[in-house]
Amino acid sequence: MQLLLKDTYLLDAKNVEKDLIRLWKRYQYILNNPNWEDLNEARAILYLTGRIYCEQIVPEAIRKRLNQLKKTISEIEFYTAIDSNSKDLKTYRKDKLFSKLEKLYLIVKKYKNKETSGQYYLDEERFIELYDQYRPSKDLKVGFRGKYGKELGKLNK
Amino acid sequence: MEIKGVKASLGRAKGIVKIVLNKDDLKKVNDGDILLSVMTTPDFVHAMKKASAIVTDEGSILCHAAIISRELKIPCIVATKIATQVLKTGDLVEVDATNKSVISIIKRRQEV
Repeated sequence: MQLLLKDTYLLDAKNVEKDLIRLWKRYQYILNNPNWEDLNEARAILYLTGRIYCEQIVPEAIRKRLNQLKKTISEIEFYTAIDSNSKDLKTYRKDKLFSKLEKLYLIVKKYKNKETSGQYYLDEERFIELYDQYRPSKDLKVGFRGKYGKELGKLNK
Repeated sequence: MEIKGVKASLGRAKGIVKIVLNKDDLKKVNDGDILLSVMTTPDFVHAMKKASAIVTDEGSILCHAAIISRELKIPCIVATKIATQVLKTGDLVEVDATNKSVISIIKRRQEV
């Protein structure tokens, strides 16, 4: 994770990709060869890459540099231009910093689109099943934020 | 009443709310509906293509709902925290993801 943060700070997209793949492979290895100690490492990878890195650190890293572009654009304009393949991209890409930020964003997007055996991204459901199976105490049960909770369902019926 | 969130894709749309809490709910989404969920996953994409706007309780500017809505060029508001609890399927709302980033309730669903 330290390397990932360092490479993100340096906007070294190539190494960010390597770091993310390394962590993802380690996570997949643990899910395929689980034990209690390693599952806690997997939990850290899941939380740090899934919740913190992709959703908070990268947007912040990009946001802080957008005002250093030759032609300043807002955060939403930046993402919209890339995701909607805007015609303005040609002009934006003349700025080297924009290209670096775009690469970083596309790597994170690619990482979020990863899948294995038909399961997406970090396969959180499988992780939770394994974690519950291997946990030594019932007090350590983890929840799944994205799972459609029964209580939430009741509220809307 | 207005619900605030973070705009993730620009635009404005008006439509009927469809709350999606499980995969079965995805079938209920019709063309022009406002898709409302806690957060979206890749399974949602077919329904997202039919929606005129997307609203989620959680997420950030880089979450799945945000990325897909920008690709589909439809408005999206994320991180409302309470939208799935305040709104109900059938409510008529306006999603304003321009400057304000709010969801306004135009008409509540008629209870039978």
